[in-house]
Amino acid sequence: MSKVWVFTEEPKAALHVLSPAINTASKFGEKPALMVPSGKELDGIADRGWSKIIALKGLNDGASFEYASAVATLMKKEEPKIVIVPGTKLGKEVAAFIAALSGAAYAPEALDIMLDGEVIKYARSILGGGVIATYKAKAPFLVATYQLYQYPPPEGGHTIPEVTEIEVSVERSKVSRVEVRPLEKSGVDLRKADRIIAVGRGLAKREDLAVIEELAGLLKAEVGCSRILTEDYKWLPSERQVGLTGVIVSPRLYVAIGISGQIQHVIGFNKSKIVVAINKDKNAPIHQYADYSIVDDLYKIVPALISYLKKTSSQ
Amino acid sequence: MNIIVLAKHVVDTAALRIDPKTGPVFRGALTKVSDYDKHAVEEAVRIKEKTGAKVTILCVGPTEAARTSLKEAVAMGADEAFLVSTGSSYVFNNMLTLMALINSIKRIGSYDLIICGEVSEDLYQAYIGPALAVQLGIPFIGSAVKMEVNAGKIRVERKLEDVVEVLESPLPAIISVTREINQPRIPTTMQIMKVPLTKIKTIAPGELGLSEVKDKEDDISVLEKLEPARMASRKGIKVEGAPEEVAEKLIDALKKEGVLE
Repeated sequence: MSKVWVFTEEPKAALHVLSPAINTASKFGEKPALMVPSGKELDGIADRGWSKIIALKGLNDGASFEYASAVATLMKKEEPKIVIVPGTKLGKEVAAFIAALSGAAYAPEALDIMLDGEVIKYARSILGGGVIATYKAKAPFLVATYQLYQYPPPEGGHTIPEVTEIEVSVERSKVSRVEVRPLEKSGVDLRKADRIIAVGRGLAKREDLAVIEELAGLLKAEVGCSRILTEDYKWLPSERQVGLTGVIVSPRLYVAIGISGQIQHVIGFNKSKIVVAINKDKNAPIHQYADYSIVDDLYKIVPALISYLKKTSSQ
Repeated sequence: MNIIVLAKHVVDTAALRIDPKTGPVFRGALTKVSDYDKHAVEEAVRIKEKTGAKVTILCVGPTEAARTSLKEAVAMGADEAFLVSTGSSYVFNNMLTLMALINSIKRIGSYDLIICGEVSEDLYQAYIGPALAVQLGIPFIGSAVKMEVNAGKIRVERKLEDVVEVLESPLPAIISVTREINQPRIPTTMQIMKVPLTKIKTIAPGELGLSEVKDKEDDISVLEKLEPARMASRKGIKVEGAPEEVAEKLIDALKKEGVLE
């Protein structure tokens, strides 16, 4: 079997790691193998150039520990070098379990996996995102996760390999799922947004979000924010939080309003095409990360932008 | 009921100076209890207030943590704290931390529940909880937004991408918590000062049968280098003038960039 595996409990998520998986497998002169729990829909996933597809039978749905136990058991037998898990919330838990059960080196939210002869190296972002740490694995294999939406998947249309069903003996999980219900959320996915107006600590009160929303509406943008507005003030739901602890976005336009520009936040919008910063503090780090920088009070600039946009759109 | 809370003493990344050539400057850096772990302490103290549990804080980290982070955690309402001291080092690999935790948990003795933050603010791995659970042979549930202990069992609610799951596990178990689960109390400076150092025991790794502290290497991996992250290069154009003027200039510029339509 291939030296590079992708395991995911959610086949669609495999597309998020397809590009790095193919790239890593090519260093071994191979294609990656895909592993999923049996009974999952593989339409649009199976034809992406996998060397093999393995469906793992007999695992309780959503039981992260059982998924990991099955993969770790197979690893012992087949000795892959690298196991990649897409960074869904459950996926991250599965990956940590696989690493712990197999004794693998672990690269959560990896930036890069490198091969130096036989030696596996990996880079990840630490200390709030301002620092890149490069590790060398001493263990003979690596488990890695990647954040979702980082790499657009290559096209499908490849020959679909036969799906092999395997039943592996696993250690059963003592955790039981007693209830599952849909998560109520605002429905926004900033990772898909074309334009984002993000607001931070500079906003004086919750009611003022209305003005930000008005500007966002005029620019056909989504509203995002820095961590303080979700985790500390709880003014906005967590899916609107941009940054290392929120979502990593890549819009064409990112406007940071009243945001100081801590590195954890900057990491979140670093892939934007054009960045605008509005912050009255000329020393705020955000100005260093902007294409267009306005050193002025957001309470003056935002209304001016709104009235200018209204005026020009009505002409 | 005995609860162990894993609390990490971390460099305050928001205030960390990063030299553009050499990377992070640890000397003189501000430090604190990892934010996520404060929520773990709070959750344990709330269980204590309801059921009379004993709460023990456990930390693997630099010696200074005893005087700062661990005093703060005890001031929040924990009974005592153990620090496995790594001297002046911050540990960037997992195995030493994991072994130190396992050996000190054995030394603490019986426990019903271990609570930790879902990630640490410095390394952001979400690894120690699941790995410790594997080593101790007990269940782990991550990212709790709600938890309830009842008759030898724990019920945990957590959010995945599209669903809310309610999970149940027998005790003992390890649970990691999100920042959403509660609002941690903030002890006053006086309360923190009053915590007697006798409540905080510092243990050398040697006392736990562990070898010397290597902060960048264990049997699984070696940290080779730390470098400053490189951000995208930007145009750095200042837009100046009266607000109306700034608005017009900015919108015109964005139109020219082709990012408005």
